[in-house]
Amino acid sequence: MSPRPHTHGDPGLPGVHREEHRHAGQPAHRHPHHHRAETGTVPHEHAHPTSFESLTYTVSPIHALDARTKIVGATVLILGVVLTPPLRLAEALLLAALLAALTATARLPVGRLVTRSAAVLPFAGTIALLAPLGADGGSWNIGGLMSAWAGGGLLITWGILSKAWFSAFCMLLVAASTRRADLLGALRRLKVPEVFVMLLSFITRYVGVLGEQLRSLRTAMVSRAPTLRGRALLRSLGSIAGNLFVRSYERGERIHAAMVSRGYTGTLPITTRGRLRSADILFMAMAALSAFAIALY
Amino acid sequence: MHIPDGMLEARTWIPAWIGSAGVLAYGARRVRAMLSDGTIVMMAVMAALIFALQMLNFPVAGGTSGHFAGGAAAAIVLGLWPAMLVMAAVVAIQALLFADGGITALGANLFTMAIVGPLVGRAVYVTARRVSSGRTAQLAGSFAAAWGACVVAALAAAVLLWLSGRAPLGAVTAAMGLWHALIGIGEGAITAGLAGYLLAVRPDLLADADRKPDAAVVRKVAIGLGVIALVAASVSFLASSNPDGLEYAYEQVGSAFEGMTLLEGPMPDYVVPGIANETLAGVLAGIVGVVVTGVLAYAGLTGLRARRAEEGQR
Repeated sequence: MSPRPHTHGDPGLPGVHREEHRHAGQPAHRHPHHHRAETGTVPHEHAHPTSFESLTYTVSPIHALDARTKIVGATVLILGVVLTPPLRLAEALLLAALLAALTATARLPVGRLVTRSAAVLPFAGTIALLAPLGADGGSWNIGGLMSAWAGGGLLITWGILSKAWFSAFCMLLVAASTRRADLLGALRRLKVPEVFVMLLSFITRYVGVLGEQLRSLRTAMVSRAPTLRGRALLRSLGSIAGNLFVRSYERGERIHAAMVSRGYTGTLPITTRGRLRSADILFMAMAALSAFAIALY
Repeated sequence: MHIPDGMLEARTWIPAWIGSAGVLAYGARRVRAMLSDGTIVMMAVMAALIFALQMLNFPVAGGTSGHFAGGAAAAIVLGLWPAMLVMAAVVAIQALLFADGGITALGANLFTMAIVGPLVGRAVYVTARRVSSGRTAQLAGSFAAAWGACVVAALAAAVLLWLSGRAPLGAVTAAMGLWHALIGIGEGAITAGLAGYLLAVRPDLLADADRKPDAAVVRKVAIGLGVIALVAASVSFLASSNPDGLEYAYEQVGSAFEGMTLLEGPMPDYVVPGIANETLAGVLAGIVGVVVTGVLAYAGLTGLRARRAEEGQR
């Protein structure tokens, strides 16, 4: 096939991406037709193939669920985990099995989710190690043998770490199985104030652009002054922040002008209008049941 | 200082959720009424900017690094309410998409990073600017604002952890306070650099900030937060210093077996009733705390207004 320009739509199907049907089954980025005409200077339209966001383009039963279902389900499950005393072995196994099953059903890479959710552990770990100090007047029994008191302290440590990790994994499952637009639409439909959802949607839309600008500013700084340290480094970082601030401010003006010219009247339309189906009801019931089982057992 | 789920007790995170949601909902309404559509779009772009700027890492001590948080910078440039909303959006995105900070703990994280941080930053900066509007004063003010916001927010998080019975107050405030006093230096220097750049290139952006009518609000909210902190602390003391009979029995009998729970698994007889009560007591304490605080704050503010009106008549 000869190289052709990367066009959207053809006369037969106005507004539809010509290769839309081929997107089923794998991240959009794998498709060669997106790369044929893009030779470095053309900015990428899709999430980077290694980015976390590209996982949301997987096709699976979990991805197909309504975003509201996933948000509410995860929240209920996390509530169950948080409200229970330190997880006992049976509860931890039940949770692990449930999350593993969900991850497998969602066709998501387990290792990646595990490493990413482990990011909560440093802070949680610090507090988890401080916590036994407060338990019944100090229970770290480092010098002596592990007494019953030390065991109680360790139980608290385990409680904090396991709850933090399980909950983080739940949220990551939602984040990895829901497209950004659907997630934001669901928040709007769950009655989160509109101004707030707008801020969230702008963050997801523009953080890539601004982050890229920030990176190039920083590269420029490092290549001109590779040995900057201490106060001078911090001052330069401040100038970079200021520079990016002014640029973003001006970008904001242009964005607003563009939005107005496209009919913006102060409210953002909700684009996702799915209804809850039986699968959603089933999923929520399952999440609620598991949460009750964990909280009450 | 993103607190994950499972670290805070219900007596802390439920009131924190209610309080933060209330403050931010009020802020959203204020912003909607105060700002034009164009300014709100601008604010949204600024939210993305603050999120992007959090990628700015700087070395702290001993090979570790901190990253720019931006609460004070947002408060300096955008004004108090927009800054609170912007930071709230950033914190919420981190919890939703990156599991950085929990969902039940989101209220607490919003309280420390989206409410206390911008508030302290704004208050310090406005004060410094009132003292002098010279360049040096503004740069020093920005530095102090960012340092103060960073440290006070960290201390607020420490207090929340302490209220949850997670750690002794001394240990947790020392750990959080000292660490963030170090990080705050980087935060302050970058914020001062940002302010210096803006003063040189677009001083109008900073001058705009002066006209935002929030000096009175800053004072009111500061008073309110102080009252909340005091009442919450005292209520939670009352709740925790009187363990009920079941808990007492559990402490007496259960401690002997405690070492084995990790290995043995289920011991429903003593765990569930005690904790169920504690949770209920915590929730009740939280609700009482919020109500009492609301009444006190209302009484205080009405009293102030009445006295001021009286003074005005004289």
